[in-house]
Amino acid sequence: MIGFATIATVPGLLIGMVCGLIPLGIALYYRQLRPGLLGWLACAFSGFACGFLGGVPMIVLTTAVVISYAYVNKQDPFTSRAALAEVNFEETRLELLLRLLAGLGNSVRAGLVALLRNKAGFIGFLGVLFFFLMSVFGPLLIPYDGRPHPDRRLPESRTLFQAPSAQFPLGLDWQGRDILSHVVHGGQGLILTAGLAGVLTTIIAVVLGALAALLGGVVDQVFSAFSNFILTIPQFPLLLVLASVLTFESNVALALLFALLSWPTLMRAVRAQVLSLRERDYVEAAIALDLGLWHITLREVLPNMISYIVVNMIFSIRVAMYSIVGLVFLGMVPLREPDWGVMIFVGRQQGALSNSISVWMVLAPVLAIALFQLSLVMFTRSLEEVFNPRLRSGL
Amino acid sequence: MKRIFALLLAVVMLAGLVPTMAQEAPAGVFLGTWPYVLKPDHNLNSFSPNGPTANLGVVYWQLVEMPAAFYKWAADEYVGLLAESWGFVDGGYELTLKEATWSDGSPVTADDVVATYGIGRILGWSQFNTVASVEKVADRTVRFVWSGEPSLLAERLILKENIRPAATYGALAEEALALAADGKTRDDQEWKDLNAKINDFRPDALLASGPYTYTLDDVGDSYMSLFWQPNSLYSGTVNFGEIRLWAGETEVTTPLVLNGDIAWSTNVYPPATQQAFQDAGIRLLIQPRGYGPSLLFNHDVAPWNIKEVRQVAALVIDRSENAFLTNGFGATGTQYMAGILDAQVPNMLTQDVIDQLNPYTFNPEAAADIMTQLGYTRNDAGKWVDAEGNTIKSEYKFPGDFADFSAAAQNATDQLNEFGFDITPRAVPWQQARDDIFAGNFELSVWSWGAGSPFAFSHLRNPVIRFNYAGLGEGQPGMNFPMEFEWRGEQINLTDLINNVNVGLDVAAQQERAGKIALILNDLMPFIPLNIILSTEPWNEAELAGAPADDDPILQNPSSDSFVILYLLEGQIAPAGG
Amino acid sequence: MTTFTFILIRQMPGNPFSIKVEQLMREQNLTVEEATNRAGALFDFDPNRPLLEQYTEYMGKLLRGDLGKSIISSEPVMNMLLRFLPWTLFSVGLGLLISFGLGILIGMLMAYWRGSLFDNVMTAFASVMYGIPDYVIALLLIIVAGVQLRILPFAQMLGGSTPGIEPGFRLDYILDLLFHAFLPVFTYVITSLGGWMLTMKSSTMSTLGEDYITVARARGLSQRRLLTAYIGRNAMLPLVTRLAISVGFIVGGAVIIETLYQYPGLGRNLATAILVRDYTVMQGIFLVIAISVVFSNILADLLFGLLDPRVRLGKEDAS
Repeated sequence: MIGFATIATVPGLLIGMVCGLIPLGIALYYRQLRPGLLGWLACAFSGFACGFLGGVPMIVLTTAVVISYAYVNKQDPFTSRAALAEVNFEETRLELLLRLLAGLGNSVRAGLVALLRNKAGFIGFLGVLFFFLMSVFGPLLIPYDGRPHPDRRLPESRTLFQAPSAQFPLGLDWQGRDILSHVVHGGQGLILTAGLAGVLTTIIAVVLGALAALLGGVVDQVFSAFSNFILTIPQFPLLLVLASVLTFESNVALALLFALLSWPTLMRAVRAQVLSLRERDYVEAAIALDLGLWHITLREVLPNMISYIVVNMIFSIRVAMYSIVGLVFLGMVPLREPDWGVMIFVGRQQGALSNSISVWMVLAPVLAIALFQLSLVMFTRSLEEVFNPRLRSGL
Repeated sequence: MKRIFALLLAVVMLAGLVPTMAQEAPAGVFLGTWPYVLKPDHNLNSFSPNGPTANLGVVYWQLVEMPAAFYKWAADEYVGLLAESWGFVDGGYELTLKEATWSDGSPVTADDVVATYGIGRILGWSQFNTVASVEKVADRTVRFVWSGEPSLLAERLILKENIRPAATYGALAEEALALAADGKTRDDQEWKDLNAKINDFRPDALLASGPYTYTLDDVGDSYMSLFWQPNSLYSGTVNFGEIRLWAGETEVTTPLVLNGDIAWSTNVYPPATQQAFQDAGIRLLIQPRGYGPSLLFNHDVAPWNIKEVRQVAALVIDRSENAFLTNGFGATGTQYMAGILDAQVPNMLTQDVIDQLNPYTFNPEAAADIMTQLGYTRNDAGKWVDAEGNTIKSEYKFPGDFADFSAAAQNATDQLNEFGFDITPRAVPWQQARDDIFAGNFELSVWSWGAGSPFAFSHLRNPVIRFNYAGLGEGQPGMNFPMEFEWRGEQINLTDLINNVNVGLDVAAQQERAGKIALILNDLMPFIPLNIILSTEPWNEAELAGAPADDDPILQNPSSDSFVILYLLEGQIAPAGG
Repeated sequence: MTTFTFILIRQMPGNPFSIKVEQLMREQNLTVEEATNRAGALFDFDPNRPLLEQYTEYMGKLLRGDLGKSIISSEPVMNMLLRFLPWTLFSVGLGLLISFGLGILIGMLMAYWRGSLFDNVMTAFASVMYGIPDYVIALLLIIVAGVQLRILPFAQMLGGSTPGIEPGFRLDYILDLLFHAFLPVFTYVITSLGGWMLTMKSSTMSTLGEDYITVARARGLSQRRLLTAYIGRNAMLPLVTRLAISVGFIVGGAVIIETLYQYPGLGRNLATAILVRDYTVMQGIFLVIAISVVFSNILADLLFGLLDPRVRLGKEDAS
């Protein structure tokens, strides 16, 4: 559905393996074999999953990690392994690049360590990984069942629905199609669209909310009034009208539309929180030092809210997962199967919830969404530790 | 506990209404459902949009304000309800009422009929297409004077109309008759004012000629109750003291049916729910519903303007698969592709015409041959392409909120794509789908064909006039199927043919005219009648006795002329085990 | 705002007339021409009347506090609001109160006992329940508990009160109200509780590391006082705005829940009005929602200042 949505392919695997040669080569140069091999594996894997789009970014990440093992910061005489005499504040472009890469690599490593340390977070990570693996590698194992199967009707049955069985672990849907194959094939597009929608919503909300609170005055009033305006527009009629004039070919537009309509709630919460944080000592100190708006926002204010923001982002993703199918059925994009949202909508319409043989058509995608959300929420435990180091010591 | 309470309430209320009660109310409670509106929107004026007409639905309303007669479809005969005798007379139609009374004890008379039609004229009832005036001939006899050609359609409209009490609407009716006598028309302001006045009229009580009535106090949030009244012709025969109607649509009523709180429901339930009913031991009554989904082509969009391509589409859709997915066993694939619902084809067409109809039996090979003759070839992906290599791309727009239509459309899309068309489905809200069809803003779409009517005119008109420029307003091309063309060496004006199909009283002539139209539609395939939807109504035999057997001809009545009306009044339906 | 809504709802596809025609055909099996004739006379709605003219009339009336009449039933919109609003305020309000109260309490404890079994169980519960749409919960609740297990007398619980019961400030009437409100309130609580819990937890997390908390702990304050006065109060701040927005939307009701439970609230009424395109009723309801959203946001800002003395709104800072 989305350009970067993908299914594992063999050419992708080759691309990934080639990509992986770069970190491996650099690692060999620095004699850091272990991270090099890991980097090669990571590249090969992500290339397998996503082709160029997976392989190429992974080069950067793994190379950064490799370099972070080997990098010697000549500017920093205290942590540097270099002798004091070698300290050199003049930096070439290459050295700057290396320093930045090493910094990135260190963050990645710290993140991974934090990830492994928190048990709940790690389980969450595994959950997210599971959904990723399922939608990327699942299609290789379970072929998509798209045609109706009138022949699968059981004698005496008035429908093609079937309860779960050994042959069809999640049962059959209203057209006699394997629900499991729809769950496996139908998640990727929705997760990506909803993920994009959730991230966009959060970005808009956080940027506008923080600006409104930090700048105050007219900016605050304008943004607040605008958020009120969006909140008070009756959304259903608006979407009906929009759908009758606008149609899109891809779901990306739906994600954007969702974000444009759903940022105000979070924006007001962020604004309130920042208003409160602004008055705290360390922020006031930063303001007094005139450290600049971006520094204050990114370094002083946001880290304190990150946990709250991430949880809200997850909620936005969940809301988007359920709302976007509504936009599909308003006709904004063509109806495409397989899709979890379409399963839920059509299943409800076909009376799936009234009968235990048919309920899985709705329950399977709903539970998938619920479990995906659970994984994300648990995953944030680790993120909290990455972003909010004070918590590591515990209360 | 609750039921006893409700019954007590019923008794108390009836005692209040009728001080000298001769009979006792029967004990049974009939558990039904209808999506009535809540107070304060709910009112008792049956000419207004939120009055008993809408709030009781066509079945229960006839138990309150009864019509002249009940029509048995299979036998093609009327059973008098309020009417004692009826028939065509020279230049008109005469209707004589039985000796019946309203719930206040006053007689039902010709004045009530005159008042009903007095107001009906202001409201633009179709009866006045053929009726010039309604005159009182005797105390209980009225005469309808024809303005144009008499027809059986006009007869049906007269006999089916519910008769309202002059005691309630008399004053408005007098104003209405005065306006008509002055020669005023719909365009006059007085006429419009009176129309508004009629809509805004709010009677305090509902006078019933049938055995049930109710007051606004009986309208609750989750159900409303009709209570027995002793003064009707049928008060002595009915077996229920209360008719309880649960509010809500399909999703709300499903658990209530499963639970036995609703014994009979006319909602449209999807197959999975029908299965659940069956598993719970609830019987499913199958009745015609009077329409089915049809695939509509936009004749401005190539290649759907080519007759052969449309015929190909008809050949490659397996209509029984389509029917099963549309509504399970509650739908049948169209057998006669004639523009007339299958059940009525034997009545409306001669055997000779039926034999000439192309059945369009599922046959992808024959369809492939036609495509090849038309110059299309199959590409590597199995899609048909023209000489330039373009696939036959189209968008199928359908109402996503109608479970049956959307299922029919999704399956038709699947099957057309399977054959090698390149069709994208797009679901839109039904209101938009309808507007878009009117505006010609679609390539392929789905809407109803056929009609719940015993007249060929209503069948043939839908959708070829209804969704075509011929029946739409300025700037609304609809399907834009040309209605004037040469066919088998003859110049045809299809609009005129259809409009005149049922004129007059000569049935054989009507059959002949209908036959010609059926052959034209069958050949040109301006739309594909995909299947015919049936009503599958749950009927709980643990609670209700007296439903007809599955092969009883009365089940050929469509759900709007439901057997329940007649059987309930005549006392054939009774509480089970009682 | 009002203007925008006015134009918006009139641009919705379909109009009351064509919808009535379709309804008559589907429900009463009328033929097209019969349905068109009947629908045409049923209400005096003229689809061709200029929008501007309708608008000036509407605004003129609105300024005099008149919301107009329903174009379907001719009933004054104000009457409908008065009839349905109290039910919605009662049920959704009660649901919000319970879920918010429980949510912040549990959320705070989750953060306080971070990583404990309690935290993990509650996280799982909250995430899963919050991931299931309300109509799925509502329908399954009725089908499973009501029909299959028969432990819930749901048919009697539908609606707002038992038909025929005399309203009054009496115990039996109040119990009857609660009996009927149980299903909508329960469903509302169970589907929204998770959201409050998780946001409260995450908000509390940002507070826990703060210096004043450490100081308070060092002072040896009791856990209870620490939780309520120091942590809870600060952690609630971002939730207050969210609460305010939710309060604002109370009047809109819970459309699906009210429809499924046949609760006589404004949400059910709104759903009907949208379905039949009753423009005036929609206008009335949307206006009330808009007013209450704006109003509760203002209230939230004021409340915010009270809860967090550090913030004095309106204080101009140059930054």
